[in-house]
Order: sequence, then C-alpha cells, then structure tokens
Amino acid sequence: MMRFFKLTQQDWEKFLQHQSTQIAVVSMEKSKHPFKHILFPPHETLFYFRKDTHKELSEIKENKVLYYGLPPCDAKTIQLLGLNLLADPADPYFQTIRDNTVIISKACDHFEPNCFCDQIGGSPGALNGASAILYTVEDGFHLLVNHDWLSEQLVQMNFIPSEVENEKADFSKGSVPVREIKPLPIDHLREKGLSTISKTALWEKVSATCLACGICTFLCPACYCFDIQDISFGRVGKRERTYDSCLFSIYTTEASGHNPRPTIKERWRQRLLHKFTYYPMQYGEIGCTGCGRCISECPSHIDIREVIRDAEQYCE
Amino acid sequence: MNPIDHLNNQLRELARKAFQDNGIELLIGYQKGEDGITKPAIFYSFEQVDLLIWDQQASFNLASLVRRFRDKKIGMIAQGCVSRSLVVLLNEGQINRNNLFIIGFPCQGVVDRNQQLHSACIDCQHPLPVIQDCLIEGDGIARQSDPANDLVIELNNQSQSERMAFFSQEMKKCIRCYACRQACPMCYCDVCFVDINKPLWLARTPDQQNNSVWNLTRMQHLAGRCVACGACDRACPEGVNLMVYLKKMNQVVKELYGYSAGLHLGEKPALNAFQPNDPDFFWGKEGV
Amino acid sequence: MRNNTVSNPYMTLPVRIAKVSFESEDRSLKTLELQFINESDRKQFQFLPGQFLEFSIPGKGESPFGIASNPSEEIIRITVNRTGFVTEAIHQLEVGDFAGIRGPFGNTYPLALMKQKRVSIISGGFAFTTLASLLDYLLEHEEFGITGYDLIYGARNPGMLLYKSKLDQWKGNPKIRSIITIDKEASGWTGTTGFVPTVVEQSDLQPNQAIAVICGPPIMIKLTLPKLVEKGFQTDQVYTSLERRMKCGIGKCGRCNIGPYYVCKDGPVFSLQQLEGLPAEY
Repeated sequence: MMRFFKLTQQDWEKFLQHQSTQIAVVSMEKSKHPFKHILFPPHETLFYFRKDTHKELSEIKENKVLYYGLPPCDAKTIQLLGLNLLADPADPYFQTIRDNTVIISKACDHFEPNCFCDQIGGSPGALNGASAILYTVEDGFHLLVNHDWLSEQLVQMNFIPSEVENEKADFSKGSVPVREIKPLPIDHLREKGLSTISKTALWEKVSATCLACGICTFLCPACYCFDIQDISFGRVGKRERTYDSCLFSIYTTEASGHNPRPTIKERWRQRLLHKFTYYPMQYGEIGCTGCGRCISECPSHIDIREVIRDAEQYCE
Repeated sequence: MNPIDHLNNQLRELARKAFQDNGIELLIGYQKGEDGITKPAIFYSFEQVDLLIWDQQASFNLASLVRRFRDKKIGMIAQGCVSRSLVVLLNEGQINRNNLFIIGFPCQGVVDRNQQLHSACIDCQHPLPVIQDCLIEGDGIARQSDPANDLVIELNNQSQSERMAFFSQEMKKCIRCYACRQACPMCYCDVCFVDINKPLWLARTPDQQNNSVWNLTRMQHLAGRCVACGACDRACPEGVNLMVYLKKMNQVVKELYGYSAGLHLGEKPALNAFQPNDPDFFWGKEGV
Repeated sequence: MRNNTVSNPYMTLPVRIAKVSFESEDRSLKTLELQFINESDRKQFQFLPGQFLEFSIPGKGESPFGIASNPSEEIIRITVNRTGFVTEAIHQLEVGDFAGIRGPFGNTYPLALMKQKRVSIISGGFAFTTLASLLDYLLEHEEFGITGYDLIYGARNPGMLLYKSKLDQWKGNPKIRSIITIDKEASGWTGTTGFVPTVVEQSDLQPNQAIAVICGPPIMIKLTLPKLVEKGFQTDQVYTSLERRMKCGIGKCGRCNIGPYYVCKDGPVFSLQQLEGLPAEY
C-alpha cells in the first residue's frame, strides 16, 4: 500500500539517525558504479563443497540494510533484475539480498550529459521499484513509500502518513527537472526488433569500433549475465559465480569449438536486441534504465542512443 | 585559425586524397560524438571525411582497429605512439604494409577526463610518427618526466613491502572487464590465456590475487612489444594505474636489451631474438 | 545465515556411478548409469523424454546432458563426449564414484501432439541420447496409439553409433522402419552408407499425420530441414532439440538466450515454427 509523508530536513535526519541504531544505513549517490554491484555482486560464492564426502554448504547472509540517496535509475535495477532472477525457480541469493534491502531513492535535480531515462519512458522522479522515493520541496521533503515495513517505521516515529488514492499519479511534479527532448524510438525495436536480425550492414556499422571489452555490461544496471566456475583447494573448494558478458568472444563458444556468435557483429546484435526486443518479449520491460554509464565509460564512446536510432531505420 | 583546426583541415585534405588517389577502402580516424566527446570512427567514403577530426581528447589508439579490417586497403591517421603500434604489428606479421596508407601527423599529447595531460604523454619521447605514407609537418612536443613527480622513481626508491602494498591496492580496484586487453593494439591473441581452462591459469574471480595474475601476466606478454601509448590506462573504468608498471617494464627492457618497441620497421621484438651476449645475471649466478 | 539445500536450485543431488561403458572404440563416448543416493531424490526427479540434467563434479564444474534413459527406469543414463574440461573429468569417473546432478531441466518432446500419429526420428552422432529415451518411452506407452515409427540415425563410422544393442532390438521391431547409416564405407558394415540429409532425401518419409523430431550437429540440422520441407512437412510438424553452451540450466545466467527464449528453460525442444524469425545462433 502506497503512502505519502511530509518531512522536514530535521525529520529526515532524525529518521536516519534512529534507523542506524537498528540496522545498517548507507548513504549513496549516483556514481560510476551501479547499485547492481551491491544487489548482485561481481562475484558470489554459491556454495562450498568437500570433494570426498560430496557435501555442499551454502551460506546466504541475511543482513537488513537501508540505502538512501540513490538515483531512480539505480533503484530500477531491483525491478529489472528481479524480472529474470526471481522468475521460477527464484535465485535464492538475489532473493535474500533483495528481501533484506530497503531503498529510499532520491529524485534527481539535474540531468547529466549522458542521462536519457526520460527518452525511454522513464523519469528522474519515478519510484522504479524502490521502497520509497524522496522528493525535495521548498520546506523539506515529500516521501512516497511503497514498503509496509518502512511505512510502519515512520508511523512508529509519529510521522503522519496520507493514503495515496491514485497509485499511478505523478508525484514528481515540480520536484524534478523536465526537458524538451525527443524520445528514442524504442517502440519500433520492441515490436519489430526481430526484423533487424539479418541486416548485416546495421550490425557492421554499430560494432565497427567496438572493442568487446565488456565495460558497458559490467556497469549496466540491467545486465545480469554470469559465469559459474569451481575453485578448489585440495579436497575442499567453492562454486562461484562471476560477471560475464555477452560481448566476450568465448561467451557462447562450445566445447567443440563451434561459436554461434563468431564475430562482434552478432554479439552486438544480441546486446541491443536482448535489451530492447527480447527482454520486453519475455518480461514486458526493456532492459535499460537510461543511466548513460555505457556511453560515458566506453573506450570507443559508442553511444547506445545513436545505435537505437540507427536500428530503427532498419526495422520493418 | 587555431593550430588544431589547421591540423584538422590538413588531415581531411590528405584523407580525401587517400580515397581518391591512393585507393583506400576505408579510413580509420576520429569524429565528435553527440555529446562532444572525440571517439574513434570508420569513414567509408570521400564525403564522410568532412567529419574527420583529431584533438587532444582522442584517447583511443586507432591501431587496435587495424586487424579487423586487414583484408582491405586501410587509410589511417597516426601520430607517434599509434604509428609505433603499427610498426610492432607490421613486425609481427599482423598486417601487410601494402594494405596500409598512413597519414602521419605531429602530436601535442592526449588529455584524460580531467583535462590533464595523460601519464603516457608527460614523458613521451616520440610525438612524431615513425612511419607514414604522407606527413603533416609540424612540431610534436617531446617531454621529459619531472623527476620530482615521477611515480616510477618514487616506487623504485621504496622498500619491497611498500611497493607490494601499492600494487595490492591497485589490484583491488580491478574488475576484470578486460578493457585494457581490448584497447591494446598488441593484445590480439585469438584465445587469451584467461579464456583457457585446460589448464586453468587463473580463476575468473575479481579478487586481488587473481587480478594480480591477470595484470602481471598481460604485462609480461607485452614486454618488448609495448609502446606505452596509454590506451589501456585510459580505457580502465576503475582507474587502475597501469602506466607506472608498463613504463617500468619498458625501462627494464631498454636497460637489458637496449630496445624500445615499434621504432624500426623490420626488426624482431627484443624477446623474440637472442644474442649470445644477452644479459643473464638473472639466472642466479654471482649471488644475484 | 541460511543453509539451503533443496530450495537452492544451484545445489546438486548426490548420485553414485552405477555402471560405465564405452560406446565407441576410441573411448571418446562414455555412457554412465547413475543411481541417486537418496531414494526420495529419485522420486522427485520426475522427467520426460527431451529433458536434460546438469552433471556436476565439484572442483571441475558442470555440463548439461540430455537424459537417454526411459523415465520408468530406476537409473539415469547419460552419454558423455570427451571434448572439454568437465567432460575430461567425467571420463575419469569409475563405478562407485560420486557426483552431483541438478534437474530435470527444459521442456519435453511434444508427446501430446504425437498421439495417434506417425513419429519420424532423425538423428546424427551423439545427439541421439534423448531420442533413445523418446523411443523407449513411446514404445512402452501403447495407449498413445502411435501408428508407426521411422528411425534414420547416422554417424561418422560404426564405432560412433550409440546404444548399438538397442538399435539391433529396434531393427527387429515391425513397427519401426529403421535406417542406420554411416558417412563413408567401412569394412564390415553391411548397412546403408550416406550422410543423414541425403538418406532423408532418398527415404519415403511422408508428412501426413506425422511428427518429425530431429537432433544432431548444427550442420546436419541445417542440411536436413530443407529436405523435410521439400517432402511437405510443415514447420509445426518438425521439432528439434537445440544445443548451446549452458551454465545455470535454469534461465538465469543468460548464456543460452536466443531471441525471447532460454534454450535451457523454454527449450531445448523447439518446433521449426518457433525458430522461424529468430537469429540462427545455434
């Protein structure tokens, strides 16, 4: 149930102070590193094993943590990754971290050069799966809460909630910047992306300067591909998962040596279509938050906004 | 007209000529992105050359794009370090000299994101191209490092445990995205050693131990081949200081074998050639 | 802290190697019969033909294998080709050794669609595993009313044919029209010679009231599918089992993603109709 709280600066600080006596409270802000690195770490032990007795032991720590100050594009990770990782059978590691993570995101007050959340149907003031979002207003904050435990915590501290009648309403009005900017043609890709599969000229153009280094996938809040590897120390060891990238040449290479995606063209096609065509076909949402990290960190400065526009030209 | 604009006009003129008279099928250069960032680009025609530029933000080493187009006649713009990378690739038989048309130009150095001169450029001795098919004349800026501000010297003077501490800190930053490998023109192995699992040389885990194996081995594989262009260092999203180790490595190769990579066409890389009087003190004789 | 066992889909069920045999003279194809340590695990491991399991050796890793045994058998049978890191380790296993498995994963052959129809099975090499399961299962379930079977199965040489004793058995079954072929002439071989696509072309397979299932190396599938289409098979009558490099087996790691499908979850069995319009990344 969604609730609305009006808080002054002091209220907010008092709330954080009180929470930090009970659980871990971490301040975040938009940085090069996506929140994904906390929710879905770069390497995670799945379980430990003993080779002789074949016993397996997994330990998933359940630590409740409150993160605040994240931009909405980072909060969206929880929603987007959840679509895949929580689908049956649910990934217990992600599930545990997610169930124990409370996110109070903060609506943005400016756009950075590579931000484009508002060009793909998002907004710098959207809730995006966070537990709550903080809007800065003249005399303090408006806090929109969509998390029962969090609501309870606030109510217990005598903050008075108002019920939200229309959950789809736009609460960010007046609190976030709005700009005149042309949206990206993602609807074309969503519906007709499959028609670009055979358009080699498009994929050649798009991947001409791509180094297949994988930075974009590592820093993308919506990318989740991982590898599983065993590491042993004599009779004991662990099975671990680490980040992987669909852009790496060995990602789909089979033991026989056959590679269904032999060149960077096919791999770029997979990256783009997976985000804007396949993910929507599977789960209804595009696999992109518009954060722009893939653009600013790419050594070749390949701009996914340009790629989307190019791809639209080839859709039938 | 400011010097960079003048240079760009000259580059474009020569690039157009290369399409018209020298029969190139594509040109590797740079252009400005939507947001004003200089990025690598491939130009397929005379008309597209209007977008060709170079400026001090051009942090990408174009030589890393040459191998994927090696069946075609390639034109490219190249300053000191990029042309040296080409020489190494030519010396290693990775591309045919006849397939390259090199437009050489002098370099003022490349800046990093904070508009500071990049660590590869602060002591660059080769701003002018070492190989070219046509040349834009001009003064490249050769620089000496400031000994008071040289991290290689500073680390050299530290104890082993201090040096190890610094190295470990750097290795903790690495996320094993392999951008360094992909950005380097000389890292072109079809199957990199990290992607082999028979035998498994190192785990994929991005922890300090495995990251150390990755970085040290990559650098060792570059000994006698690295031209210290800095592309790897600039590509790294985590700011791992790769330059200090590559510079030290190049210094050691120079001391031991009197060799710097990519200066002369037709020579064998230092670690691919053997001379009877090569230094061998490191075999452990004489108490070393 | 939470200690997860069954609710964690990444953890394995312990099995023991009950029997080991080699299918080929060069010992590259090894068939293992696995017994669950816990009977309750075997009871829970309900599978149907077409599904696969992940075979795990702690310290080496996991590999996916199609299940070749009939669901009604007590043991689980898989055949392993020695090509890589994990399969090398599997080949070192002997009777009595322990391992782990996860599964069953994936979808099954379209059993419901096969009722009252003729079933044509086309296969090459060691992709035959799940088809052996299919044939055993269908023969056992007479209530499906299968009107007849075609079996066209080829390998590089006689040594590479799987389950030769089964093949002999099926040859003697009047309901099955079987053509076992090898690529080139070999001494001692009195059967058909020729590549599977050619044999299919020359056969009298017919599409009327038939379902075709085809499993083999990508090149074989690529060349055989047009032959079936020529004979009049519609794309919703032809099914194939795709192979892809897999890791998690449960649609999480993204590796086997083709278009909107995960081969491990929405497949590996797909109809030709489903594959139309998708990138040919297999």
